Amino acid sequence: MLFHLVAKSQASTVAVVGLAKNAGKTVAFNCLIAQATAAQLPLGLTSLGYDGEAVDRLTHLAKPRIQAPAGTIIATARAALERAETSLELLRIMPFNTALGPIVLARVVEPGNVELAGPSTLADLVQVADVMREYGAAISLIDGALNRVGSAAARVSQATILATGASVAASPEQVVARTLHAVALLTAPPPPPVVQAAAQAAFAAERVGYWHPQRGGWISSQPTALGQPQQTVAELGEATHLMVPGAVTNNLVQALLQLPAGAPMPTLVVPAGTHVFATPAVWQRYLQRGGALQALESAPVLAVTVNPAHPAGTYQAELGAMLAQALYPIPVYDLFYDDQRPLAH
Amino acid sequence: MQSDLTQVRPYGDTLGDGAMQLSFTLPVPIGPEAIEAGKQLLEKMGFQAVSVVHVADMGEGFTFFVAYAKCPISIDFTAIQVPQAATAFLDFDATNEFIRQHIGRRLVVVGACIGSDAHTVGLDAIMNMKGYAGEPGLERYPMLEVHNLGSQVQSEELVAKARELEADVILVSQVVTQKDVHILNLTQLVEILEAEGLREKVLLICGGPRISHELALELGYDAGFGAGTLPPQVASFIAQEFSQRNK
Repeated sequence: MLFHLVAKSQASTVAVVGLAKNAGKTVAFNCLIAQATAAQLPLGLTSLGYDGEAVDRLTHLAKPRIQAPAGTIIATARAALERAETSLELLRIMPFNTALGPIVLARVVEPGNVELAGPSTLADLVQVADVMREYGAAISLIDGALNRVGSAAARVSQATILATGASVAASPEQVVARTLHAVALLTAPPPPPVVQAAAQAAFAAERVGYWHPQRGGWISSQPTALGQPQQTVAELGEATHLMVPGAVTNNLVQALLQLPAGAPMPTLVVPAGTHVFATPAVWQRYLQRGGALQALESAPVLAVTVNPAHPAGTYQAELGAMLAQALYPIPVYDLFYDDQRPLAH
Repeated sequence: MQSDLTQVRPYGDTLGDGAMQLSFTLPVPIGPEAIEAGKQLLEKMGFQAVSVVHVADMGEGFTFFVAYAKCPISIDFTAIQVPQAATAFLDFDATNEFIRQHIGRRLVVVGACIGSDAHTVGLDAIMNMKGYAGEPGLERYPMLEVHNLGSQVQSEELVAKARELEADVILVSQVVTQKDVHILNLTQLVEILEAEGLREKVLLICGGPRISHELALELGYDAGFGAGTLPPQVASFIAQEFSQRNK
């Protein structure tokens, strides 16, 4: 059962993120709420985007509502709070402003539909998740936004449920590849302790850093690899590790791929896997050339949920089985098919 | 004439008659069957008194239709709530004075159309010196330091530039299409800003014909301005919201 995985993980904040719209994020979110209710554990609910409205404001397609049981703590922008179809007890107005007014904390008095529009920044999200627990939530659940995976960063949540499905790519093979890519980034292993210390020093100084087994770590004058990837790569010298405090984009990875054939490919060290924005095809070429990713922090992906249906009407029947096999030992659930047991691998 | 705002219907000749003019294209060759197809489609949608008044051959087996029909349903106008920027509207002089008094320095605004988007008309209307509809653009505001990066700017270029210029405000213009491509540009920009540690440091605003405040929030932006927005609306939001956040 999905919620058992969450409870067993002992994570205090759990992010539900999707790789695309219509991947089934809200279905997974609702499944967790229902199963937590059955287990009599009060949840804190918020969203990095906007969830719970009846019709999607982008695609104009019907969306699953969010049914909050009594006792749930919600954090939502004032304008979204006013649309809740249930009675609420107001707890606190948070000092975070959004396009829909300040974030308000409330307790659900009678079960009913709520609309969740949470904080706009990850920093605010971390604080909101903490405060919901102060008001009695056993676990704070964060519904992600569109294809954003930022809330899966370990500084925000200690565990992730990843939703994927036919809306991610045209063929099941591509969906599997995109999903494996995302899981690999989110669960990147930590660097060895010596490198870790050097990376922490570089990141604390908000600088790109380099590391070499004999020379140890050194810090670049650059705060970012964005916009000047050639310079970042030119400063590499003999370094075996390139430590990037910010975003790793296609441009940086492509600059690394320009290194002469046969030259050792440096390992990239990032604060978290959510800092990597390179697309799967470019990233695969980097890995094939001997590249690797290490992250100072990572959060486990407890489960992957799959929605084999695309809103345009196509259905990738074999997707679930393919994912279950490719992702093993991570359990894969098709929640419409069975919300109790994962698919066989 | 008094209209009942709880039951609003389209207006044609007389109040509440529901008359509408519709235009659309079907992938069928022009002819009597096409006209019947257009009529049946609208009837299936619930329209009444459908009459196809104009058809044109679009070539390659496509037909364009103009039809009149009556809409049998109504909406309750009094129940509609559209969230809007909560800040008060200030004009050009009041905004500059507000920034001088409450912030005490010029705010750095960096704007661009990101991804493959080359539609700069919206961005230029808000940012350019000459402005739009008689309202001067942000470049004319003495208390704003404005950098218009133009069209087809990659998200990472925009973030690099924002870091270099120590931007206070990032303004992104995007024509959102049905295919979600442009939405992905907008979410990627937010994620890169988060990764670079800049998200909390800037006011992040998007604009475009299909952008609303609700969509902005869904995407992780601080505000969204849609069609018909005038430069002083954006400027007065920037001044007041920046001051509010940096108290």
